[in-house]
Amino acid sequence: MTARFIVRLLTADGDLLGWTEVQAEAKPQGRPRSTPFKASTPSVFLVERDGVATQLSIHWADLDVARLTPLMEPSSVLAGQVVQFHWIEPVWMVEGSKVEVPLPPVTVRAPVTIAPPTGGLTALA
Amino acid sequence: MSLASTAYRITLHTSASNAATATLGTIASVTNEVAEGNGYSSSGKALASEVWTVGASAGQYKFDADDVVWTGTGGSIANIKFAVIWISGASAGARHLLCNSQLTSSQFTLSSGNTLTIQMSSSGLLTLA
Repeated sequence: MTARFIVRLLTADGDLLGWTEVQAEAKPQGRPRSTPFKASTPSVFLVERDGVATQLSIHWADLDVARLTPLMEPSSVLAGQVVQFHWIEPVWMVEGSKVEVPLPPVTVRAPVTIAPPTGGLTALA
Repeated sequence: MSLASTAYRITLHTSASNAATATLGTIASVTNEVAEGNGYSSSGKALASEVWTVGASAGQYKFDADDVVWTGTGGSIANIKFAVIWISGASAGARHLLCNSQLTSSQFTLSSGNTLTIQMSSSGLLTLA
């Protein structure tokens, strides 16, 4: 699944310098491990005002939850500048759950169609 | 193992199955097939209209087959999670596995009167490069 995040480039005081929308894909690893949402491409901010970028706010729009994360180092930006941000950590991390949570089968009382994606087999080099 | 001019079968397996294990060789090594009855027969169903065609690029082949449908009849087909496709060989040792798919994140039961359709992708079941 893919989720939409609004990411804001902020000063230390929380003032907005620029923002962008990020589509991040969930990479589930099964219980009890966490599920990271990872961006497949760097994010690009169009800077709207001069300032020192020190942190990002990441807002999961559909759930209306948000988190703050500091940048590795503050950097001065100028209005009109285009800043490319490479995600070295997941955009969002969903905590894993206990293995022993019971999941009895649900009963489906309607026709079900499942369309598996095309698989791939590659010869060994 | 010859993939051409070969009959294939598809079986359903429960959440307890090892169907997702990549190192399995034959269908005999895949555990926990869905219980026979209520519209599901042991050893699943034969694939129909199997065909290997040239894929999108040179050296690539695409495998395709008709969609497969099970109907819950007289009761429920319980605890479905995986589907496994294998070669319908004459002997146990010839029934090699081709591919598997986890159909759902959480197993489900198909109640009587309802259908489960495994809809093969328009891009083929799998590609071989």
